[in-house]
Parts: sequence; structure tokens; C-alpha cells
Amino acid sequence: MPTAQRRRVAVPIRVMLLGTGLAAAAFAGGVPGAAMGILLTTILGAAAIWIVGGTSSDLAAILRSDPDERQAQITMRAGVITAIVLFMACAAMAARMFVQGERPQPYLDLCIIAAIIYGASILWLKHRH
Amino acid sequence: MLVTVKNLVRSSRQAVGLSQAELGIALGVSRQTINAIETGRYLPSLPLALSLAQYFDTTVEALFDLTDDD
Repeated sequence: MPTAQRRRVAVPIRVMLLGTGLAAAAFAGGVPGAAMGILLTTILGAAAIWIVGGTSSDLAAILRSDPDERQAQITMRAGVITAIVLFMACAAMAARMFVQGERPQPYLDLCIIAAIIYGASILWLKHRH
Repeated sequence: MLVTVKNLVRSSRQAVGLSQAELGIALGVSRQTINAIETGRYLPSLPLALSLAQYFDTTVEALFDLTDDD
């Protein structure tokens, strides 16, 4: 398969694998309705990504795993924003559960894991650069 | 003292009759990235700046200029 085609199917395949895995977990957990919903959403999402990947937009290049330097920077910054928002959401949920007198799991655990990964990433990147 | 970078990429490109897409293809970047460089929204990496200068047969210093926004 030519490189360009391989790049175009790479992200949809990853989405299908992840979604199918989640659907299988939901099915195994006795929630077949959710499993079907996840599977359907996954198929539609993968198809949409494959279609968009055929255009010449910035988003298409990112979805094709074929970004130039500016698009790669956009992807990285989007990842940072996502991580910050998720961390803040988990911290807020943990605080809320503390206030309600409940155990803050799993939100506090997620915050701790994020902090450890952040520290390790800083050390690793500092060493590399 | 706020420093910005002005560039002559657009005028250089137009002088040789190239479209943004054609310049992007020549340098291995997208049309949107060329547009972002020309409008000052994106500062190219050193390799890309050098490639631009080489393409237009000039120097990076001639193509990009630091200015003070006071």
C-alpha cells in the first residue's frame, strides 16, 4: 500500500481498534446497549476521519498523521490544552467529593498519576534537550 | 520591549509568480503554513527559514527582520 494511503488509514484503524475494545468491554460487562452505541459511534467516527483525511486542510493532514511542522505544533498544543483541562476537571471532582465527605477516587488517583507523568516527562525531555 | 518578526516571504513569492500552494509543495509544507508565515501568525523553524531563504536565493536575514513594537 502506498505511503500516503497507509497514512490515511492509520488513524481510522487506531480509532476502530480502540472503539472495538471499549465496545467489547461494555459487552463483557453486561451492557450490550452501550456496546452497540460505542461500536456505531466508532464506525461513524472512523469513516468521518477517513473522509476528512482525503481533503487538503490542516485537520486532514493531522488526521493522516502527516503534519508539517506547524500542524505538528498545533497537535501538540491541543494535547497540552486537553491534558490541562482534564487535570483541572479531575482536581475539581476530587475537591467536590472531599467536600461531600466521600472518597475522592478515582479522581485524586488520576491527578497523582498526571503529576508523576508530568514530572517524569520534564526530566526525560530535559535530558534529551 | 515587544519584538516581532516581519518577513518578505509574500513579496518574494509573488515576485517569482508562485502560489502559496506551489511554494508549499516546493518546501514540503502545506499551503496553510505558507499563509500563516506570510501573515505573521507562525514563525518557521530554522530549517524551514533556511529552506525559504535558499529557495529565493537570498539570506535568512534578508527575508526575516526583527522589529521593536514600542
